[in-house]
Amino acid sequence: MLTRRTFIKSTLVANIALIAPTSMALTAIKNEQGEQPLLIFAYENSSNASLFSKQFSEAEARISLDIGLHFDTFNAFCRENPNGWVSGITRDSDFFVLQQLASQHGYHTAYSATHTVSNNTLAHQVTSSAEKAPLLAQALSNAGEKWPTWLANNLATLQHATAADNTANSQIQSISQAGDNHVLVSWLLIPSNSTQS
Amino acid sequence: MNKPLPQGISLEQFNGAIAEIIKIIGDEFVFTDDIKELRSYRDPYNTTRDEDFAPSAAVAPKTLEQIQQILAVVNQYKIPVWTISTGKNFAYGGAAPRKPGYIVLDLKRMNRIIEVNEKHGYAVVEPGVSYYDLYNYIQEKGYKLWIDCAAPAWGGIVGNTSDHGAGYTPYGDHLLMQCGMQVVLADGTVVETGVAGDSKASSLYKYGQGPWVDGLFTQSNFGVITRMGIWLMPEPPGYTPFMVTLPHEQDLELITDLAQPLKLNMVIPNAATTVDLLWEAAMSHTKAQYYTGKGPMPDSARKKLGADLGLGVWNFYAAVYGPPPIMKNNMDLIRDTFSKIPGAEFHYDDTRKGSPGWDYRVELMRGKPNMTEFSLLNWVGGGGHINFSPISAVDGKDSYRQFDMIRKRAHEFGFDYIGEFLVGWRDQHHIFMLMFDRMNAEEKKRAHDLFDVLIDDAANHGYGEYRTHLSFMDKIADSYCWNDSALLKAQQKIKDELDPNGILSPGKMGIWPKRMRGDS
Repeated sequence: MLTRRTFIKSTLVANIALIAPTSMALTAIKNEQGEQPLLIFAYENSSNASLFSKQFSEAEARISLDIGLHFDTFNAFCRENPNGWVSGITRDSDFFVLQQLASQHGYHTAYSATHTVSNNTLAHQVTSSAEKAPLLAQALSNAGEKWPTWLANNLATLQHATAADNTANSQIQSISQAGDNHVLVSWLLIPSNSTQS
Repeated sequence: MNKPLPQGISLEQFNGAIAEIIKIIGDEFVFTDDIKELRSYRDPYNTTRDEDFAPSAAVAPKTLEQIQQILAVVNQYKIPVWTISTGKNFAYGGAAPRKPGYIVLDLKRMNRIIEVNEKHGYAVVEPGVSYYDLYNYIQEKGYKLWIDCAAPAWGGIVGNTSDHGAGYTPYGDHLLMQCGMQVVLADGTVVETGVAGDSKASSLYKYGQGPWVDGLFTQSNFGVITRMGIWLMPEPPGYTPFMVTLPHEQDLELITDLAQPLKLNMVIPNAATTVDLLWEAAMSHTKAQYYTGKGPMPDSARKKLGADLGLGVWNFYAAVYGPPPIMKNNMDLIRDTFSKIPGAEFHYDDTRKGSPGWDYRVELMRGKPNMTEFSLLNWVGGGGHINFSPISAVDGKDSYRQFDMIRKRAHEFGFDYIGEFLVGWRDQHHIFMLMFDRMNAEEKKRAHDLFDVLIDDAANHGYGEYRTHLSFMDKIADSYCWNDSALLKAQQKIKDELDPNGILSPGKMGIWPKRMRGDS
């Protein structure tokens, strides 16, 4: 369930400070207690990804067509932050690559969703726990065009102790066009030894 | 899902073997949790059921001695192990084993760069060393050496070379540039090839004395490669990459025939590529941006795509290397040759830089690792792919025939033709990237069926594949059937002699141990 407790947690996560310089094309953030290191990825040619990353800092947070340029940062983050989370809105291929790397650091995918714009319809397909998937899909639809902002503000609600394996769909009419690469993926990777649920 | 177990092995026996392996390498490096730990050892792009290639466990030794001890345990229990280096070979199965229940022998922790010799131009590496690792090491040390990497470059040197992978510099035939290796046989015996007693000479001279056996351990299951020498190209004084865009489909014939003597005579020294429009476009665009209907992209959309991105129907990439006078001489010859093709246009860094397809090819042809080619997977939503990879002659008619054969079938099954021809020393690797939505069961099935038909089509035309996905290893091995499959039978004899318990990667490239033959 999306409880008040998890909502408060998400607020804490969103109140963060910029750590990584823009030149690294990434934004790393921490909460007030420094307990929840977070690394954010955003595809550079997507306004939705940009909207998402801007919720964490005022700096631009971008990744280019070559995800390999960010391997060192990603691996260093995972090594140095055993409880760190990694999240983003990216192309599917970037998510796939990061997911593979993350598994080598003992991470699993707590949440992922594809966001497709086609024929003026914005569709979300959420993969999460059986309990959360339909709620998240509905919440994304309710957020309308501001769904990336909703995701950023509710990051803590996306976490799940085991790998996500249930899907749920939602869709709304959209005024935006498919210029954003047609299909985007939002996702959250967390360490498998995480005890939060 | 039930715990996948090796064929004929009980859970009690499996647990017994795992307990013994934990004593050897520690609990931290033995993975048995199907959900949390073993997902990364599945094949995300398989076209059948996930459980068809689900391992029972993965174990990650750090040393040769630990491998020997693990092999002793699995020999005792007769449990198959499936060896991987970095497991990034996703078009062909990734880290997943050929059959469910195998234990993955993951060598990624064996990641030492043992030596890089600048003067003689070679490196000696362990299986866990990726192209990125070696490139970064060379940059840090300031050595004037280039690597030759696969695209994408997160894979391992030993794994790619032993799977007959290719790159894009003049050293693009990776196995040709391999020199000396260390191998652990199934019984734990350690064999080193090259020149006896001198590690440096082992990386300089391949053949030692007697039969050259290194090839036996590639694309095979006769041993576990734990170390490999690889030749590195000295950094040349100059580098000029170029691209030729070709406006017509039939130009594939012309460019291939014109490139052949240039390549054979080493005027073009590197592994050149002839790349189709969609491959190039998919670096930065998705299919839906130009076509949202079902089936392959129609010609009208393809034309608009090509015009918008300044791409040809075919796009030929190559480079010249060396002192400026030599590069100029060779480029003059190349320009004169290809200018015979009506509508052919030359492109260079000054006008093309910033174009995604150009940028990553320029990096690859000078051995700089990148991951840009993964962008291809966004062509369709939820992109997955398997590669159909037949060999052809560097011959125009042959190339076109092969392209036409694959394209027709791909369209018949509702898929785009996305492909490239990689020109080697005498052959071409034709890579058809069969893209599908990995979340769509119907599409996966259709892709599987297409691949199956393509193997038959290719065999009927006299073509063989050089490498394949787990699902099709048996079928392609069967297609090498000359003289009552004498080749496969010879491989089986070697297998039975070197690995009598059949523990090493059973079924790799269709080679099964005696006790499992007929079960596949």
